[in-house]
Amino acid sequence: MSLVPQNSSVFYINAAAVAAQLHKAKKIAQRVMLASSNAGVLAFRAGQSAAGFGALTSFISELAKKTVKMSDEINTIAIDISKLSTYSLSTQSASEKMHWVMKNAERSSHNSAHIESLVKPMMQVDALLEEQEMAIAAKVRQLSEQLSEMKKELSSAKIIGTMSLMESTQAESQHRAALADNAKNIVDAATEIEQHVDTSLALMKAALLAQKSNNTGI
Amino acid sequence: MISNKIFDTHSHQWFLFGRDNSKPERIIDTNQYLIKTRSNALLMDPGGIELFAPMLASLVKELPLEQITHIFASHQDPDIISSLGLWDKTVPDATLYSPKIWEGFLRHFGMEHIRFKGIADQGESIVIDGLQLDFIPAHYLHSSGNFNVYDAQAKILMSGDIGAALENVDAPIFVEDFDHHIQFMEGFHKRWMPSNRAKNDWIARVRQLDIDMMCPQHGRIFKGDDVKRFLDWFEALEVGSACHQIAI
Ligand SMILES: [Fe+2]
Ligand SMILES: [Fe+2]
Repeated sequence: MSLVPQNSSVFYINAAAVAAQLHKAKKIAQRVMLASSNAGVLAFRAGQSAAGFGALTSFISELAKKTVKMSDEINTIAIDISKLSTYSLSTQSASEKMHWVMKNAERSSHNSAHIESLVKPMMQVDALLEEQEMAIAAKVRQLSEQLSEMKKELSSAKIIGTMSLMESTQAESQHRAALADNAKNIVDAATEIEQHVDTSLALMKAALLAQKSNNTGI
Repeated sequence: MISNKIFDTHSHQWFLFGRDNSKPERIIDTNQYLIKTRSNALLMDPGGIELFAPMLASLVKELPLEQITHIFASHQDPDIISSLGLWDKTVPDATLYSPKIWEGFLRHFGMEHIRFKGIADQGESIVIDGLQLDFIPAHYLHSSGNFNVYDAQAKILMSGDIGAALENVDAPIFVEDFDHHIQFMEGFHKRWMPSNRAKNDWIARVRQLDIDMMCPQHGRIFKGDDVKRFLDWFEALEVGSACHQIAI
């Protein structure tokens, strides 16, 4: 008899960790939203010389809003994965135990007269396990796609931040430092968020690898 | 895990499963009981998660799994019923009988398919293939919602944690020398049974029953006069008294 396929329960810890990463990313993005509205005020005060900067802050504000929204969405998926894989952990446990009983009954000479009555529940549990694994796999794919999408948005944010930094040099001298500071903060925040996204991607990748090695029975 | 037929007539049989020497260390040894009637069966206090696989292996020696139509959990403890989520996937068409007040708690063990039938505080009777079984109230002994199962035909009382003894897994199945057995029960009953009032109430109720065998969830079965001896001993015992932090 072939070994029971190991399931995706390796995901439940990593998915919870991804949710935590996304929560942190969201907090930073919220900070950026606040910072970009401050930057708008600063640019307004700086007048005509900071008009270019002002235009860019509205982009940043949009991106930050989008990042907050995406963080929430990804967070929901991550929590779903964690929940689903916890369920499948109990299904896996049932499946493993049933297979153990079946295997031992086949091996031993004891008379397990009614062992065939285990076949139906065992098949049902294995089917459920497969179904749960497929649901998890779909969610994991969705999560990875959304994370990659978020990365793209972040690189735009970084570019706009850098452009703002350059624009700040055009402003009148008394406003220059404050504007430059603001632009730097935005670049730093985007970099920080990106790190959380990268960590999340790495966590998902590690879980996928662990699942694969489980499946090949290593 | 040993499987022992402790009662047998043409209409039904009682089985004891226990003395599981494959269980991990530090897990309390438990007795699981099964009443098998013509085409149904009642599985009583099926045990913890760790015991599920050996239990399943033992059960398929005695009956087809779909014959397990009824499950009973005397109370909510993990050693009684933490395997519920696994039984739920094994015998999804079964009905679980358990104290009404524990439903919301028991569902934490996972119960999607098995039907829950709460037993009212005053107790209930069910009939399985013509066999009447009574759920006898044993509240606060030790759980706040707790029942025994009485089979008047077989004269057997499944008493849950009442009468429990903590002994080695290789201990015999029946009490052989009551006085010698006390040492294995005394600490347990003093600590785990919280109320003398509940205890006396239960003793009065159980004294009215005709009992040949009293089957606890841990330790040995009491037979014949040892049942009466147990009731007398328990009556005299000051329970709820083994916690040294409390001045009594
Ligand atoms: Fe208990
Ligand atoms: Fe117990």
